Amino acid sequence: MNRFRKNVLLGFSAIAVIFSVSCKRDKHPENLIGPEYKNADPGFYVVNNSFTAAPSDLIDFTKTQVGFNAQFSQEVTYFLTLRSEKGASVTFTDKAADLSKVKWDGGHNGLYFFNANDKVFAELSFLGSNVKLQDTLTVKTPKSYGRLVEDFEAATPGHLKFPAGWYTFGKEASAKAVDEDKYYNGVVAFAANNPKTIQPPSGIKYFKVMGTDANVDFFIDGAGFISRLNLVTANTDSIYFNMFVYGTGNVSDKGSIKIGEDDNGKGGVQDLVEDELFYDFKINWTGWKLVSVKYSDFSFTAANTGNRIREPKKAGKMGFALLSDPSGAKTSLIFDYPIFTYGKPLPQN
Amino acid sequence: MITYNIMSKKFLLGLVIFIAVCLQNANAQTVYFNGLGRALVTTDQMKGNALTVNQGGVPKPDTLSGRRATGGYTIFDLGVNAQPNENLRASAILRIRNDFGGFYGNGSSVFFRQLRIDGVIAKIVKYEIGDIDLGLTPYTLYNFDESYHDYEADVFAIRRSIVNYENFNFGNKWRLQGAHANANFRFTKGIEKIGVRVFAARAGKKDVLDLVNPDRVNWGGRVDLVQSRFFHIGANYIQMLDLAGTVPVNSFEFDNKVGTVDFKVGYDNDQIGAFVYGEAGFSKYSFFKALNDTTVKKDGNFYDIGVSGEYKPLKIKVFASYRNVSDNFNSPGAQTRRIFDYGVPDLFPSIKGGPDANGVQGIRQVGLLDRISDESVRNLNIMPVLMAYRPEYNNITPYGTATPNRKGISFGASVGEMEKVVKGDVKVDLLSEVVGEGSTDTRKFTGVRGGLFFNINKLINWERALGINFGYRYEHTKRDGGNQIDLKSSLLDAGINVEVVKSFDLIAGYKMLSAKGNEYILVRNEFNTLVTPVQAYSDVDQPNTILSQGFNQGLLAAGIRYRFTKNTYFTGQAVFYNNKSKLQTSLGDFDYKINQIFLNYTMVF
Repeated sequence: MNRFRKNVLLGFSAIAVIFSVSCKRDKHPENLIGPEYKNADPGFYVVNNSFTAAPSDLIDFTKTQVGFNAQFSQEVTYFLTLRSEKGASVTFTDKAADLSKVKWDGGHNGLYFFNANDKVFAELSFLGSNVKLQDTLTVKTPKSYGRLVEDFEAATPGHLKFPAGWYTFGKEASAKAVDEDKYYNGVVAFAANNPKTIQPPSGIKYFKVMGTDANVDFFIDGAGFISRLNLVTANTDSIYFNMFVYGTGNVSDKGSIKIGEDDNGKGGVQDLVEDELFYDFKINWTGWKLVSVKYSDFSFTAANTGNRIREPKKAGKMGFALLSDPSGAKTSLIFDYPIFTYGKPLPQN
Repeated sequence: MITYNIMSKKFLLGLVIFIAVCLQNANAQTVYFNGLGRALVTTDQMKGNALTVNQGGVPKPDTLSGRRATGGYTIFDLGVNAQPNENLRASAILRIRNDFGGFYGNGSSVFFRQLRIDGVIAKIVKYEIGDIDLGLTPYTLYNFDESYHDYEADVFAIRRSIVNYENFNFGNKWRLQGAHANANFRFTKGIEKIGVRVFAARAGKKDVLDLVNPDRVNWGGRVDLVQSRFFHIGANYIQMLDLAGTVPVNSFEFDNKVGTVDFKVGYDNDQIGAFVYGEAGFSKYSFFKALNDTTVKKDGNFYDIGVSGEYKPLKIKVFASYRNVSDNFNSPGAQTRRIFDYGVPDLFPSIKGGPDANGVQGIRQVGLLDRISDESVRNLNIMPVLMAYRPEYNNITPYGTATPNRKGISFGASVGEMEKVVKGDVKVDLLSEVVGEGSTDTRKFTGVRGGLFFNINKLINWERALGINFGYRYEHTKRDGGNQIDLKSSLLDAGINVEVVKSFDLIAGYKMLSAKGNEYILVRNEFNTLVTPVQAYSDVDQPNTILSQGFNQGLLAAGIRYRFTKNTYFTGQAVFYNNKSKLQTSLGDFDYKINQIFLNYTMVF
């Protein structure tokens, strides 16, 4: 019996340990987890089978948002998916009896942007029902997220094109001999049947600098432009430069973003005597990734003798340089949709 | 796993040296060999409405998807164990594989299937380094079975054992790459022993060129105190985390800690046994993703306590337990599924004209046949996120005993053992959700499973084997309120084996899965957070849902088996698989049949 008593005591002790370990039950302030949903009951229908978007044609997202009209026979979880032919998409889902809360501002989920002239297919479906309704929209001007520097597409509404155009730095990636497997410095157009091209986040074109650091000085080549950026704030903590950069998996890939400021107000940006800001980054990922840098995080190029004040309103020159880290390697800088945004970085989906 | 082309001269040279050294050492009796050889061939035919395409409402033949296939392979796993002394052993399993249709080296491959060093330090600490099998408790590190198959027929168990072997599913342990050490300290008074074990291992394979994802490891251990056979208590800890600095920039930082205490206390003698047992613990989850600069943290916990009794003369056991696992309890090592329910099967992957632009429609779903025979739909990595599952296969505990958001009672009984006339058991789960998912109402789960092996030969004193088996699993998921759920599924197993001539068996089995009703699942995002509801099972015609009125899978197999030794056998089987599942009626009916001839010779030495 002594052994039995001993075991009973041990048992109670063990149970006490068990409950003390798990006594801190996690409490939910709400009484459910996950998004609340409601499936369609039998006999569910959309009133008059009507599903429309307004506006639906030649939508200018710099001036308007799109609303959707549809009323349901009950409160239900709906899925409204908008999809372009080029892969851009956005989905709205909620539990409601109509679509009055849905306002599409031209934004997207995922990587790909809705672009000018896109035909957009809208599909409305419901949880627990096979009811499906469709509509088609067309985009005239895509959403503006800020000061788009360049999207490398043909001139389209809402896309800024710098009149001076781009120039290359004329170094190791800008060889005269045409050999796209070794050197490249310019715009590339995506073609589905060309595996050497990549579908960019916006449109079908992107910029590519590729070359070998033949003189082993870390710097390979680059491209840029001289043109007033007309940024509208002097607050360097509230302005961000963003662009999508494609990582190839090559360990030596490195890029550098440069911004020149017209310190003396004479127009243009003079080399060495006016401020140049730079931001270097290793491209240590594969696929497209958004790079966002606060203006105040750019560093001053030591050799330049400007006023050493970060002045976004004076920004008038940009450069996108390809580096090699370590030196002497073949590297590439592939980027698209360089844009300045105010207050926050470009939204990341 | 390192793979080499068989034609590599360097590798061939190395192989020759390796074998020569082995033979040299074998003569010195420091090396011994073991291994497995297997030849496997299947020839298959598929037919049914899944091989039609819907053109304007008129079914036309699908000219893109395959209808017949023959495949297989021959493998030879040579295990070489070098043991210079009793404290050290190095072992490697070298695999030579020749796919069916490969000749003169084309289609052949040679690679190391396993590399391991183990031994004993100072006669106290046992250690293993390399490819090791690790497991702790059902709430910490446990590779739970992919579905209920305790009483399936030999004819299917043979197929499943091949898939298990190919995917290192040995018991309920995970095959990981790392190190493991354990030591037992025995005492003469007061307590019997204290055991200590620690381990550290990768959570899964990683491409050496992967510069984005950091190395993800599991490390942990267990300390258990055995006072006597009447009482033991243990403490377990496992942490899965990303190692900072293993990539240039940490894009992800995953960190999950699980700590538990388990015990067993009671009394037994030659006649009876009675015990109280349990386990309880906590989890702390944190995941940072640099891309959207977000960190999500969650804390969870659980307790599981039970009683058991045994009457030994009759081999009768009964048990009952209660558990409560919070919805945020996160234990990747115990909750990761070993099968991809939404994987693409190797056999006849394309139906209905092939995959659509989204890669969804036109892919044959993994069914009963694939779950016992397809080597490619198993998961070998411990996942940080709860994997998607199909509710008709297991809706009550899709993530094993540690399935989060479950509470309730389980009880059952067992009788007999395999060496006797009868072995059988039954288990009942009466569980519910702790908190509703997407609804204030909670699901109620009722599950019954059990079966028996009946060794008829022992009853009639026949010297050869004659056995039948029967297994059944029933699940009912129900939720009331505004989002009603009502899903019933049944899984049936039946089988027979008859040793007609010494070591020559006739084997046959039948397996059936049916389901009816509706169910919704909330998809999880990368932070393991429930985000989007989808209709996982429905009687409504929707994309990627199964129509209940048509869902029924039947698998019938019959054949012969000749046992050369206990582990060396040849089997030939005819398999008939009938899948009446439907996916989306806008594409027409999805029912199909697969007829298969399966030949397999397996030798273990």
